[in-house]
Amino acid sequence: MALLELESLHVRFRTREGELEAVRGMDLAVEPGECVAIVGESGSGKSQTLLAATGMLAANGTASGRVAFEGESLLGQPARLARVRGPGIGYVFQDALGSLTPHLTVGAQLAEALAVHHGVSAADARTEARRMLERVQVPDPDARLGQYPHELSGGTRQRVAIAAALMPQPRLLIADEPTTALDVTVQAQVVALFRDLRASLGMALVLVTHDLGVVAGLADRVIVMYAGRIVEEGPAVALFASPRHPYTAGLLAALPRLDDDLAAPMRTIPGVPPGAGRDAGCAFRYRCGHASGRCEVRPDLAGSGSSRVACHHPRDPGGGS
Amino acid sequence: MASAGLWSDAWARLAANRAAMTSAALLVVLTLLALLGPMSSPYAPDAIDWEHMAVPPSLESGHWLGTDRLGRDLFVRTLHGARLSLAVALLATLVSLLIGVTWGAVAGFAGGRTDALMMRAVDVLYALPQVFFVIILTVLFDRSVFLLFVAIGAVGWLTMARVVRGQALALRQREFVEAAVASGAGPVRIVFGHIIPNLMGPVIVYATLMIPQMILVESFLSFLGIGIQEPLASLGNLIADGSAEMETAPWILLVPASCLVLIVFSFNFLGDGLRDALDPRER
Repeated sequence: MALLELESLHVRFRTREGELEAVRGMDLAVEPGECVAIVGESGSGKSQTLLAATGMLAANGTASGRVAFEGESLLGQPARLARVRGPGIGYVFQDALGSLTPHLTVGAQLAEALAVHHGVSAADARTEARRMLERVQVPDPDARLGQYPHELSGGTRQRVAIAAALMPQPRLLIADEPTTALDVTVQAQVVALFRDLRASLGMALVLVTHDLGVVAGLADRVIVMYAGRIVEEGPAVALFASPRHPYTAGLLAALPRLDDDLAAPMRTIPGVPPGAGRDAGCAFRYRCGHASGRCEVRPDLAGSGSSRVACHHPRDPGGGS
Repeated sequence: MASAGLWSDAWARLAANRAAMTSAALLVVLTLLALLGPMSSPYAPDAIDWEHMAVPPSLESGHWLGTDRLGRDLFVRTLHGARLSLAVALLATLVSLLIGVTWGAVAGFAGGRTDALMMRAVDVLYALPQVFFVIILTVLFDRSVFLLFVAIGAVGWLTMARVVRGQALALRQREFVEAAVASGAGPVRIVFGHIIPNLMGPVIVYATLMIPQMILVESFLSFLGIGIQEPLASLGNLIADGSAEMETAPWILLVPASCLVLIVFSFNFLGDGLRDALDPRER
């Protein structure tokens, strides 16, 4: 049984300009111990998918479809959600300073994550907090326990935020852009940390990011989202080696390389993503070099085995277009 | 400086504010005087000195600040009045703090319909004429000092609830609240563990500014004769007393009135200083 299952998940927001559909039918299954990366540009619905799955949408958002964690339906079940959050699903946010409560010391912060769910004594919680700080490789954990979030560096804050999410030993960790707010060397350290943690704790990891470098370093499986839908999914290695959707190919081509000509303009995907209005066709057709009349009808996500793509003109699996 | 950096910074800023520090020192002295001062005087607050009725302040008579028309020592009575006024104001502020902070934080965090409902209740209570409300309370129940500050506090929490609710609304959007939700914390834990501690800054400032308001309300009610009653002295009924003799014996009015002004001024300066210290951006 899959750990987390989403079936035709839709997320809609009521706004002053009318209803926006941020996620338009998302299917996803995360197996125990697996690392799935969800990539896509800003506004593609990757964060909203996971917020909806954990019942944390903004007040004007509604989710429909099916969300199940270990076979238990979660959507519209606040009591179950409260039980699952923490020991079932841990969440790491992008802004590590913002996600740490300013008036609590690191030790209190970590201990609280345990106290929410288990009746753990203060001394035990502190020992556990110290152990977890060591595990996320925070230097000098004893000193850190008594410090406040604003006294820590960005990388340490993110490690503490990760430690807080790990305290109740979740079976699934969701990390929403965990490295975006960090500088490059710290990013690499955090990616390495995630890899170590996954190996030692055996939890599943869902990574939301627009940083393909992070994906390549961590993910088993990659899901590419565009305008609220999956456009391509597959094993990370295969998807990087031979992307089949033109959008995925564009994303990969847009990555700067060390041997690039510095004077040349950076490669981008022309155009901007469509708004969240209704559209019967492929959402990418306006920006796609391969678009044809057939693209006025939306392609289904289809494919064999673990690789699937939603495109009428997929590129050859062998590479080249 | 490892811990509590925010508070030590705020303290440093407050210590540099001369008006606020002077006011704080003055308040400490006044409070100590109000608590201990009457003991140092040979006169009881309700003792009548038949030899010296309505004498002006002088050293020879033994009444430094004079006596009222019944020959009671004004120094002792004013300090007793200040003690009672301060106690009533502090308790009323505490009552309104407890109700207001809880009410506002719950409304702000809950949001949506709950918030709307709770804040409309505040609006309705706001619309009640407050003095009228307190008068009804004192008529319905007995005139007791205890009831008086409960009544004042029950009216005073409204503004506090609005202030706190606004802060809580803003805090609710912050990621650390989202992170607390994501870790499975329930609403009670979030409101009391994450939201309320983070809005203590404005609450402290507002409470400091509320105490003088409460003193004024108490004085006003006592002045009208529905507050604290003779022979108990409060700044309000002392001033009421003094205003009757204003033309013949002005010191009976001036002594308690100066004391009131001093206390109210000090609290206001201290409150301003605290606001600057706790929220330096708002300067």
